Formats: sequence, C-alpha cells, structure tokens
Amino acid sequence: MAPRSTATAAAPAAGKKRARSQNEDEPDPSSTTVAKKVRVSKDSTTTATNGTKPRGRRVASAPAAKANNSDEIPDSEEAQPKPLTATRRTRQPAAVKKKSNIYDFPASDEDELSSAEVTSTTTVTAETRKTTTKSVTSAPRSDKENVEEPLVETKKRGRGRPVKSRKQLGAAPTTDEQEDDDVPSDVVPKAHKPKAVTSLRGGEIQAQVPKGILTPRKEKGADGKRGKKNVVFAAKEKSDDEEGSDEEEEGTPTKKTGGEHVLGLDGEVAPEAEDEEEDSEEEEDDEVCAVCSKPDSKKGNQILFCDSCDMAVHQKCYGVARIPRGDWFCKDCTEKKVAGLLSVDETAKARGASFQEKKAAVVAPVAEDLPDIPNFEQHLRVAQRVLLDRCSGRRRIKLQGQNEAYEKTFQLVEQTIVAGEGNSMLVIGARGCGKTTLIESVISDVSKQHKEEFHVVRLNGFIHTDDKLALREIWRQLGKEMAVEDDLVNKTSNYADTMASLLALLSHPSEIAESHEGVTSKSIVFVIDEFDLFATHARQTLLYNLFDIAQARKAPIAVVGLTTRIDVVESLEKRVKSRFSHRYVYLSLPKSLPAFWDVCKQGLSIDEEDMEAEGVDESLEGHGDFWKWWNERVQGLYNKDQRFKDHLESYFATTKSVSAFLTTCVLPLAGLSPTSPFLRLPTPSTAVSLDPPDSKLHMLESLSDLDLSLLIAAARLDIVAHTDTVNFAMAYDEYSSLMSKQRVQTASSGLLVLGGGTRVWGRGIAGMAWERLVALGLLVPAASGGRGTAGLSGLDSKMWKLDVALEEIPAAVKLNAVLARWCKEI
Amino acid sequence: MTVPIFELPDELRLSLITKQFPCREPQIRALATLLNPSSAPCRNLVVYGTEATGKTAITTALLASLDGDSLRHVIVNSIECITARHLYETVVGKVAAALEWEAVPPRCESVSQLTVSLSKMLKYTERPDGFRFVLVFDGIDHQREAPHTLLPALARLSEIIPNLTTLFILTSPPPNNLLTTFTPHLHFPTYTKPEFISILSLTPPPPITPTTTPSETLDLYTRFIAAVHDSLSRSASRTLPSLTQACHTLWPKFTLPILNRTHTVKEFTKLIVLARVHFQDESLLDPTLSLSPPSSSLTPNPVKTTDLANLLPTTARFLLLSAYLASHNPTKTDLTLFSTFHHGRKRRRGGFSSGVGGGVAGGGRGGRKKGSQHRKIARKLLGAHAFVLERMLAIFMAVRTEWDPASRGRIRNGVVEGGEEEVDNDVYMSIATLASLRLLVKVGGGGDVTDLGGKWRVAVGWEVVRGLGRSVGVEVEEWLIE
Repeated sequence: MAPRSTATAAAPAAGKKRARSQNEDEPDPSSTTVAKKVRVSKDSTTTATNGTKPRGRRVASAPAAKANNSDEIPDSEEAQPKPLTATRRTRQPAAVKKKSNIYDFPASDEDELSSAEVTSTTTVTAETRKTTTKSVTSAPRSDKENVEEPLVETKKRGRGRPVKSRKQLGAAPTTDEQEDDDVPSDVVPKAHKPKAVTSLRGGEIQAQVPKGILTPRKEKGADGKRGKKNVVFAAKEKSDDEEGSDEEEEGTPTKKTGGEHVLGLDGEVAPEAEDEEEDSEEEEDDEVCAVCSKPDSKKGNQILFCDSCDMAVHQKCYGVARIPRGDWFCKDCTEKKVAGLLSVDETAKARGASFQEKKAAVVAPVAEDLPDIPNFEQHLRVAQRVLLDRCSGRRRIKLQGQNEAYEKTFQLVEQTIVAGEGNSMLVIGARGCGKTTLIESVISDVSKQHKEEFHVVRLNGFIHTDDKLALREIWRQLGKEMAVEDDLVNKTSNYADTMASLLALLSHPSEIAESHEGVTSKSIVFVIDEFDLFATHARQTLLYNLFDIAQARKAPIAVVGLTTRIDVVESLEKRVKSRFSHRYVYLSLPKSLPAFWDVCKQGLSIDEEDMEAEGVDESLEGHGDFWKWWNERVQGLYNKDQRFKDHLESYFATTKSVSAFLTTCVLPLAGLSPTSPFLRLPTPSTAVSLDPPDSKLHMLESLSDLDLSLLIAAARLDIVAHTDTVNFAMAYDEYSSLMSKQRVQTASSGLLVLGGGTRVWGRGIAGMAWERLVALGLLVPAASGGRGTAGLSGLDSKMWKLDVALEEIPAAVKLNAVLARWCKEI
Repeated sequence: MTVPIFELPDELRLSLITKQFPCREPQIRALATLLNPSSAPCRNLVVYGTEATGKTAITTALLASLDGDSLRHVIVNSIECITARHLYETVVGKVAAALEWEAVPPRCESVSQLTVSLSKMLKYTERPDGFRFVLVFDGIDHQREAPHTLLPALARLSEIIPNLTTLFILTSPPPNNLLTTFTPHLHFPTYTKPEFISILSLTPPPPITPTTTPSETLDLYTRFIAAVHDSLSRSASRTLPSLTQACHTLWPKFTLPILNRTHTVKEFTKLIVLARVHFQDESLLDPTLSLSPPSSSLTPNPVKTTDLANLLPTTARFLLLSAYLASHNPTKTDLTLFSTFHHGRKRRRGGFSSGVGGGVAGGGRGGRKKGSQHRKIARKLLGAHAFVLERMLAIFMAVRTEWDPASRGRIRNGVVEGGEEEVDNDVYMSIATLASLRLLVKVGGGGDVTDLGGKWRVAVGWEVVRGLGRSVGVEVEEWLIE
C-alpha cells in the first residue's frame, strides 16, 4: 500500500475542482456540512497514513481510508476534492471580512505572503528560519515516502503522478522550474519552508488569499517547490498532530491546504506546454508508449499521460496534434467522463482496454475488426452518400405502414387520369408523418404508367398567400410563361379574367369550345400543401372554383389538399364544403417503437430492392458482403446497443419525428471513414448536436451576472409585487435593494463575497444589460404601441413582460450563491 | 446510374478557418459537413446563438472558402432590408449576380415571385451535377415588416428548388418556427473563460519595454485578460467585443508601472493592485458614455440637462416641475398637497416623502414577511402617468405663489389677480415651447395645445427634474407623495 498516494491523488483532484469552481465566487452554504463531514474522513486518512493512533470517533470514515489502495485511487480522487475546496471556500471569507471587492486585499497581507513564499530563493526572514526547524521533522517522513512509493505502486502510477501534479500546478513558467525538477529529494526540505510558515503561523494569512485569477502567485522562482503536493500534506499532518484533534482547529490545516491549491493553481492561463514538456522528459527513460511501445519522447512527439488512467502514449501515435493546456484525458476517459461513468473499475479496465483501442480513431469501438471486403472504401462512400441524402431529406424514403392510405390516394389519382373523373380529397396528418412523401410517391408511381397524360400543379399555403398569387402560379405551372401572364394581369388588373381563362382552360372542350384542345385532354392534379391556409383566403374563391370544377366534371382534375388540421373542413364555407367530396385520408405517426424503427431504419440502411433505384452499383465486387455486414451492424445497433435504443426511444416518446431522428444521424454518418466504419452515436458533449433548443433558457448561459441579476429582480417582482409587467426602473430598484441587503448581510455575518458578487453596477451599465435582455427576447414588450410609443417615455418606464419565470432560472443556468438565494427567497 | 461519392470537406480549407476562428472547431466542422456539396448538404439549416459568437463571421468565411464551381452562395442581411419586399428583391438581385444571370427580374413583391425567380435561375437552368446554392438569411428574426409566414415560406424554398440550401442565422429560434418537419439547428454557444483567454492571447500586444521578451509579455497578458474577464466581463458584459475593448483600454494603464520601471513584468499581483481603480471603472464597458459623466437614463444627456436648467425661462421651469408633479402624484392627493383654501399657508406632506429613496424603501419592504400582502410598487418607478392639462395648470397656480418669490411679493401687495392674467399668456407660450422641445408630450394626439382637457405626459426623468428644481430653489422630493 502506498498510503501517501491518497493525499497526492486528492490534491490534484482538488485542484481540478478548484479550477472548475473558479467561476462561482460565493461559498455554497449547503456544502458546509458536507465539508465538515468529509474533513473528518480526510483527517482519518491522514491519521491512517501516518500510522499513528487512530482515534475512535473517526471510525466512521474508515472506508475512506480503506480506499487508499493504489488501484482505487481514482475513487478517492472523486470523493475527496469537493470537501476540500468547499471548506476552504466557506472559511476563507471569514478571514477577509469587510473587503467589498476582489481587489481589495491589503497590500500588507500580500507582502507577508510573498515574503513567505519567496524565502527559498531570496531572503530568509526570521520567521521562516524559525519554521524551518519545525518543518524538518516532517521532511524526512515525506522523503521516505517518496522512496517507498515506486516500490509499492505499479511503475506506471509512479511515473504518472508527477505529471498530474505538475499539470495541476499550471504554474508560472519561470525558468527556475527546470532546475528544481531534476532533484526532487532536494526540493522537499526546501519546500517545507513556505508551507510550514503557513501551516503553523500563517494559516490565517493563507486563508486571506483571495481566490480567483488575481491571487498573488510567487513571482520569483521557487515554483518547483509547490509542485510537490505531498509536502503540503506532510506539513499538514504535522500541524494536525500538534494542534490536536479539536474540530475547530482542524479547519485551519484544511483551509491551508486549500489555500495552497489556490496558490498553485491560479493563473491556469499560464502556458502549460512547457511543463508538460519537462514532464515527458522526466519520464522518458522507462515509460513506453502504449501504442508503439517505444520510450522515446521528443519535442513534437512527446509521451502524454492520461490524467485519469495514466495511459502513456505518443502524441503522434494517439493523434494529439497539440498538447492541450490543463488536463489531458485519453479518448476512453473523455468518453467515460462525459457519460458520467468514470468509476474506479472502469478506469482500471479502460487502462487495459485502451491498448486495443488506441489504434482506432475517435468513433471506433473497442476491439472490432474491419471486415475484409473488397472495395470496402468505395462501398462505404456510396452508402454514406445514399444514406446521407436520405437523412438530410434529399432522397425520399419509402412510406412504411401506410398501405391503406397509399392505395386510396393512388386509386383516386389514377381514376382522375385514366377515367377522367374529377376528384377531391384531403390528406390529414401531423407534421413529419409522410403526407408529402405519400402524394409524391403516388405521383411518381402513376407517372410510370401514364407519363404524358397529366400535369401536376403544386401550391403551398405559405408561399401563395392569396388567391391571386395562387392563380398566377397555376397559370405559370401549366406551362404559361410568367411574362405572358404578367401582360395579362397588367391588362386586366384583376384576376377575374385570369380566372375566366383558367376556367376555360380547365373546362371540358365539349362545354366550352376553346382553342386549348391540346391541354384540356390532359388531367391535372392539384397538390395543395398547407390547405388550411387556403381556407383563410377571402371568400375561398380558388377552393370554390377548384372543387366546383372537380365536382361538376367539367374537367378531369384531382384536388389533393394536405393539411395538419383535422378540423379543416369546418373552416370551409358552406358552398365550398358542399362541393367537396369529403374523402379523407388520415396518416398517423408510427404507433409502436418497432414501427418507428422500421421507418427510421431506411435512413441507415438500404433494402435490397432499392439498390437499383438508388443507383448503387450492384456489380461491384463485394457488394453483397458489404451490405450484409452493414445491415447487420445497423440491426445490431438497434438490438444490442442500449444507448442507441435509448436515443431512438427518446425520439419516439417525444416527437415521433422520423426526420428529427435521422438528422441526428447525419453527423455520425458523415464521420465514418474506411478505418472506422462503425456507426455510433456521438456522446452528448463531444459532438455538436443538431437539435433545436427547447426554449429560450439556453440563452441564460451567455448572460453576465448583472444581466442575470436584473432578470431575477424582474422575475421576483412578478411574484413579490404581483405585477406581470416590469420596467427598468422597477427592476433596477429591486436589484439595488437586493444588493444592499446582500451587503448588509455579508457585513454582519462576517462573510465576504468575493469576485464582484456585491458590486453594485450603475444605472448606465444596468441599462445596457436591460437592453441586452430586450435584444435577446427575454423581455417582450408588454403593450404594443400604447404607452411609451416612439420611446418617449425612455428606458425607465417602458413596460415589459418577462419571458422566463423565476423558478426556471436556477434550473437553466448555474448561478452563484447570491443569485441562487434571490431565486429561492422571496 | 452511379452515385456520386461521399467526401468530407477539404481538411486544408477547414484548418485555415479553424485557425482563423479559434475555439469553434466543432461548429465549423459540422457546418462544413452540412454545407459542402459532396458531404451532407441539408435543405434548411438554422444557426443560432447570442451575439458575438461568430455565427455570421464563420458562415461567411466558410462559404467563401467552399465557393467554387459546385457551390455558390449569397448572404442577405435582413438588417439591411427595410421591408419584406426589399428582402425579396435583394435576394433575387444578389442571386442573379452570384450566378451571373443577365435578365434580372425587375421586381419581386412576394415570396411567390421570389420562388419563381429563384426557380428560373436554379431549377430550370442546367447546372453541373452536385451543384448547390446556399442562400444565407442573416438575422432574419430581425426582419422588419415581415409577414408571419415569411420564415415557413423561405424554408419551403429548398423543397421546391432541390439544389438550394437555405441557412438562417438567428439569435434564438422559437420552437418549430419554420413549421417544417425537422431542421438541423447548430448552436454557437458563448465563449467560456478559457476560450476568451485563448482567443485574445492570439493577438498579444507588443512587448511593453524593449527588455521584456514577447513570452513574458504574453504570459502577463494572458493573466491580465483573465483578470479583466473576472472583474468586468463576466459580471457585467459577457461578449467578446466588450472584453476586447476593455482589455485594450486597460492594458496601457495596467502596464504603466512597468514602463515607469517601478515594477517588473513578473509582479502581476502588485500590478493588479495598482490598477485596481481602473478595473472598477464602469465606463470601460460603456465606451459611448465614457466621454461624459455617467448619466442616469439614456435619453437625457447630463450635459444637456444642466443646460436645460439654465436655458429654460423660469416660468417654463415651474411648468415642467408642475407637470412632473402632476404626472407622478395621484390626483386624490392634490387637495392635501396644494390646497390653500383654509388658510394661506401651505400644507405639504414632507413627512411622507422623507424615505422615498427607492433602494431604502425597497429594502425595507423586501425584509417584510412572505405571508403579508403583495408589496406595492413605488409610484415613482412606474413612470410618468398622463394628466389633464387643466390639472397641471391648477398645480402650477397653486405652487407658483410659494415657489416664486416675485409672485409672492405680488400677492402681498394684493395684485394677485392681475398677476395671474399676466402669467397666463406666458404660460401657454411656455407650454408650447416645452411641447416643441418634447419635454412635455401630448398623449393621444389631436386637439389644440391649449385644450384644457387634453392629456399630457412629462418626458423628463427624475434626475433632470431634481436638478431643475434645485435651480429654482425647490426640493421636488418634498412635493411628491410616497
């Protein structure tokens, strides 16, 4: 066992947490209790580590101590950091009371601090000299541990750790570092100086360090010392022993360690490539790349260590073009992290599995062999082409399970063409259920037999917004050139003449003798999309005439209306309704998951009978093999891959929209390559989602604190003052009153909220924030026109309605503690 | 018939663009895949995100690099189009120019005609295999005078014209706004702090002094950006331009100690402490107002308001003050406030107004119990109410004697009647002046200025009125109920 490893492992993890929480500046009250609890357990960890008397009251935390197996380190990483930081965060402000601003820490503190830090390189002050002697006691211990460690742990771990801690450091890239790094044993005692100062005497000082990016960092040298986190803990243990087990006292060391992290971590911005470089150089002697099994690490092709599973790979072998800043995770760990699956066992397994996986590219699953099929790439590219066209809606997919509707429609259209009947029909169904697909496939099927015997006129309610436009469009589509028709319209200036000509055109030659013989012998199929919008046109003239012609058998026309409204007939006038044949075809969305999958499957695979129609070259060698393999894979996705099935089910449960599902497949399909031809769903955060946003709430993330404050203030007014409209003056008044209350509270409780949390912004800036909310549509004008017309009443008094409710705000965006409280406490 | 082969967009071009727009790689790749004719071109595409996230810039750059024989594109900015018709004609004109089409249709009044024109150019003309035309509608949600069917209709264009891709750039798409079955939506999220830093540190300032190395400068600069982001950008204005602006403004002030040789490049913390004052300067985020002292609201410029107090004649000032009182006091309190019926002395309700300060009052109310009634909103905050001209004149008459020592002197001398007559002409003149200056606004329009029943509203804010009142020795606060 390597007990110390827990401490070390926890340290970087705490750093991670710290880095993440940089954005929230408020102590989270709820985490205080947790912090306390785990502090105890942490303490016990250290006790166990020291091998000194375990105290009875800490028995409860034994499991945590047990977790110190080298195997289970990731677990402790997960478990421990939060309390650490939480404790620090909650306590820290206590020390720094009455500072209203992040920048307000007194210069003297800073001086003290930096002097404490700078000791090793520059002046050794009296204090530090004193503390050096004290820290000596702890120094040998950590020294010894350093020696033990490689023996106990696997080699890899031993190698991996320095990288992590160094990386966590994110320290200033001073050149001194490199010198320090080579001699760790030297470093240890030296490093104790600053630590000991802070732990014994300067706990308060450390705690006073304001966090955030402005935290003072060591300016001159000595950076390397901070790198060894173990030192921190060694010192802490020591102080712990000295201070006894009093709960109150224990806070100090914990706090201190937190402060240490602040020091080490701040300025994440510093370029870390350098650090990394050194790290790899350090490791290069015996750590081998997991891909090529070579130990060399050169600039440009360095060995990287995953920060989660410690897998070592070459940049080039693993395809990392650039060494990233901050933590680097192997693909495996990234995926798991994202899926929230990162548990101890998995990481351990991943370490093993990654050896097989590393060769495949991003989307490749574990250990799958490429099928041995001739012309594989060509087949794949063709398949991608066809399937992508289907998924993006540029190739029609076959209608599934709507045979009855298809038959009915087909018969009607065919009767019109063959028998010269006049027909009218409505196709009713929800969006995306295949109305257009139905009618288009009917038309294309009919035209196979009767190609030259009919015309199709397509109208759309969105485009042809009145009857006049629709008539012109009919004219145009019936083969008349727009220019000719323009003359006609210009001449007559109303559409009565157009209508007359059209009627003449459509009417049977036996009724009206006209010179359009060539045309009238043909049937016409009118496809009217968004039929319900045509019913809103004045007097429904067009519909009346079309239905009249269809019903009176003046000419062989079929009027097929497509609509989503099931009650569309009710909106027809009586005279129109009476001429309508009242034939309906109802299309429904898939009723069961297998039915839904049947439709969706077409976007992912091609049926045997469609190959020719889609232009796939069946004579190419390996055709059968490829499609057999491909279809098996796709079916396997549905049958075995739980994530895929969940994804499918979620679409079935929410929208039943086939095209929505297929759209999500576009990017994965496009990402396939001959080296990784395995279709997989992207993990939620690694890939770009093509889903539409659920609501406006996604915009809250891009709001600044002030924007959010005003939004919350306005939303509060809705409840507090029972008014559904707000103006800027009201919102700003509420904002400033909340803010002043906040300041009083923080002052009285001795807490200081750092990072501008209590900064009250002036009216000018707040006005800009308010206007931004308006521009983003989170505020909508309460009354159009009316008050405040022409902006005369100014920004202050124009009334707005809020487009989000107070209770939605905390759910949509991560708020800092102050804002969260505003949302909670009315 | 053989199927054209699927190809991914050209890596080289993509890498150029990803370099140009850092931290946007996933979006750029997805967009390229969805637009490239040989990849997975879609029919409609919605690109959305808040301002300054690179939507338009990336789309433009990407399309420019994809443009070629098999892809043409046109970007139409809705903000440049005044009406929907203007939009249609711009589209047709630009598409014709992009396709080098000679016979540009003279006019285009409706979507229907737009469809026809586009069909002529794109559908009925022979185009090479796999040809795509990308039509970008930038900021289409801000189109003025747009018919409500505009978006669905534009989304149908690509159904009618098969080789057209329509791309909409929006701020926030309302659910199913295109009324089509499904449209891919590509989100451009706001940059996070590390992204802000990496973007801005791509263009580091020149070394501060000749002795500092570029890497030292860069290091300091990145930390400086982080500091600016934390203190200004995240808390008040979270956009790239404002952060850039703030950084550029602050950097010289921040590095001044280094130039003066009092501090070195490595002393970041001390530099921050020294520059603390600048970091708290709000005007950084509001460059337009930084030239003048901070003002309360956006309409009246403080420079002008001080002028206003000096420029207006006394009567007009009194009238404006009376108008403000009429606008902000409820009618029922007029008797209490202004009546001098019983005795010649004023009865003002100073006690009421002492705690008017919005913040204080709001704080007190906020501290009250949740069980209690809904809080009342200070009348002052609700903005100016309309009042009848007659009422304003009555108030003016009532307060004039008290405010204006000259007229009070007249009263003492018993010439009240004549004085009133005298002022009246002056009063209407002043009202007309104030109205023409838009300080008083007639509500509802119509009617004569002198119509006593006409409704008016005051169009100046509290700060202006307070200054105005002080210029004539009146504390307006004392005359406000609540």
